[in-house]
Amino acid sequence: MTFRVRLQQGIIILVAAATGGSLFIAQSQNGDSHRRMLAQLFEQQFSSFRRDQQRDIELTEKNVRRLSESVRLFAALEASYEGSYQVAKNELRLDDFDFYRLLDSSGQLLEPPEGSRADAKLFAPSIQERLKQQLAPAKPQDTTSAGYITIQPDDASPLRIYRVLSAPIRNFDTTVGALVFGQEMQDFEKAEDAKFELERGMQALWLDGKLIGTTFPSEIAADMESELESSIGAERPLNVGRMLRIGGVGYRYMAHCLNPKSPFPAAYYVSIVSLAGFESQQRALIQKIIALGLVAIALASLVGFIFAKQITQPIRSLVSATHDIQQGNFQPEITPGPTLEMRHLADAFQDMAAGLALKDRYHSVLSMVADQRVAEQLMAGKIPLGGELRDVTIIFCDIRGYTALSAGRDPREVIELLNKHMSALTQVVYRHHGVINQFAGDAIMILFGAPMNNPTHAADAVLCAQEMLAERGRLNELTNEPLGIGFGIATGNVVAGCLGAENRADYTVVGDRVNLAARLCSVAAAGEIVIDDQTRAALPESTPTTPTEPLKLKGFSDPTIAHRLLL
Amino acid sequence: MRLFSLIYFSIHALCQSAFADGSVSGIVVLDSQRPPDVPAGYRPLTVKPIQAEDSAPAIVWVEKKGMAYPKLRTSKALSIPQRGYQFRPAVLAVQTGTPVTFPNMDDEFHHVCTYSKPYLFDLGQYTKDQKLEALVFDKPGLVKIYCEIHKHMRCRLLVLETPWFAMTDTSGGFKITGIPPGEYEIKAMLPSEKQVKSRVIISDGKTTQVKLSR
Repeated sequence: MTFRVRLQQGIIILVAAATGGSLFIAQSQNGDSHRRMLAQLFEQQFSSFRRDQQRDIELTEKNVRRLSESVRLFAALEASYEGSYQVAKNELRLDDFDFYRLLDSSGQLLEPPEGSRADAKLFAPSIQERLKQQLAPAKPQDTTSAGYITIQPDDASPLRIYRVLSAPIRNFDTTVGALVFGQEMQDFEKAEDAKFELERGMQALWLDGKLIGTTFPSEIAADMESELESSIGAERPLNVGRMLRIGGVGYRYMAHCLNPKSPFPAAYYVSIVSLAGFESQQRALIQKIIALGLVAIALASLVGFIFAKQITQPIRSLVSATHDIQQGNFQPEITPGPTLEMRHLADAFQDMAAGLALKDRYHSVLSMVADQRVAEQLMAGKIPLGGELRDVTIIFCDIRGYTALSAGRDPREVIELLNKHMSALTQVVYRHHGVINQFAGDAIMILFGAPMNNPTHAADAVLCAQEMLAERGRLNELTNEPLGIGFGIATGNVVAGCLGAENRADYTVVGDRVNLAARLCSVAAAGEIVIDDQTRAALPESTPTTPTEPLKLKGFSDPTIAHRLLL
Repeated sequence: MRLFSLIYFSIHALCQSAFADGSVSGIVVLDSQRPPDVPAGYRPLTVKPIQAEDSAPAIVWVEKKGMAYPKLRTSKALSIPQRGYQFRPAVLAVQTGTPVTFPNMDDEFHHVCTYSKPYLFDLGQYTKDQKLEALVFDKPGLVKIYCEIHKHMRCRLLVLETPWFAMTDTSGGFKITGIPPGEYEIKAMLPSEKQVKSRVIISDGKTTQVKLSR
């Protein structure tokens, strides 16, 4: 994966994560503040409602208490006086109620006489039974208790909600009945010009499993009713609030119990707010953040691309320069790049290339003045300065009649002739992995088995010598100045290493085997390969050789018998 | 003079017959529903302190179905005054046709009223000095009388057709005399207004012992 792709991937992941994080924070903060705002709204609405309710209830309670302590009403109910409603009517002097009913000591509703205030016009005889049922929970034995009932005076009228307050009528320890006051509640009725503002919160009364109130949107009433039924149930909690979805739209509601611990059915003041607007705002916010995120990703990606290019372009240039250097071009063309760091890198690279060029020149020179393999081993630091004992095979090869050849000739011609000769033979040596140890006039000293190990150094050396001889033969055919060459080959232990001063040394081998090879070379006639015993021993038996006569060699006290390789 | 002699002899004869009649005495096991359980916080504004209610014993009477009772106890008008912010007595029995007055002996208004069938009356507010007409209770029944101003005040007036009734003492003891021999129902209204009854045989010149309890 390229740096650019990685950089862009990283940027995209980073920006996407930042966008996601912002999205989460924005959403949750928005949600929290909206919830808080709704909680405040619900609280305000309910507080205002409760304040009004409380004022009415307190006033009514005062009247109820006064009336329930009336000796006259007590006496009338105690005596089951038929005119009890009349007595109550005379006792009631305030108008802050819509109807009232009397209950006897067993809780039975006393039928109001015709035309009494208790039987106000809006109560047709047909609805008396329903009224009776709804007032049934009022028990004379209880203390003052509040409840909510609904009455539909006729089919054309809307359902009306009445708050009822029930109080026992008693004289100290004797309870003779109860008085129930009813007041109509206007809070849940829609005014003519009221707009449907579900976003701001609508209210209804939840009673007997039904939501009542003309301000309440009917399309969500059924779902809300079942929701309230399940969350309120029989437990009758003081407050219930939750979020729910109806028809794909979110709603949040809050329900407050209006009559906790009352024998009347639980009534709840329900506020509901549609979250449609908020949700669409949230969606718009999400879309904006996502769009912003995408733009940010695109821009960041572009910026990343540009920056990556500022890095990758010089890198590519450096890579290409490296290839050039590998190919031997130590002055590659480098595009330095726009940044300071890249310019520094390019400069450093060019310095390095110059250094490499210098090294390469050194290497070339070294390879030229020393054998290439020796040069490599030297540069690798594998050749110890002190020398090491090695089993090697040394070839000495020189030209027969060289003195005669060079005498009287232009030395440049001689050099040219020698160079041609040496170049051709050197190629053969390299092919056979021999190491040219030195050129000395017309002689070449070749090593096998040093500085690198070669277990078949003797055989290789012999083969190399044969090949060199053959090569010279081929050259002789092409020239009008044929040269005869002879070989001396010796095998055995020598000391190999760098010989010389600290600052100037040559890689060479020292030992009598070297001398032996040189001496054997000198005894070899043109086209002859003379090998010592040890070389012969390393060759297969089948190699045709013939022993020489005992040779008196310089530097060797005993006559030496060598072997001539039969070609 | 002749008229005087007639009256004298009539009374004498009645007395004679009375002396010849039987009596019933005994004890009623009282329950304890009075006085009302007034909460400690009840402090009506009165000029003078509210005094304790009279002890309210049981009323015992004998009756016989279909009997024409002599009007023995109707001649004397009875009075149930309000004194110390209480009806005194708090429980009283009268024979039908007895006139009763409710004089106010306190220095404040009282407002005596009742919705008891069939004696629905309302004397309105009146003071000590106001002259009141006597009410004649000519139908039998229990009349629960209240003062509208002072809700703790209450009086139970039991109107009986029979003249043979008595109030028990505080321990429930009673004696009713001058009952013609025969078999009767003896009844008692306890302080809780609950009634108990029994049968009793009255013999000439004898006192029959009865114990009435719930």
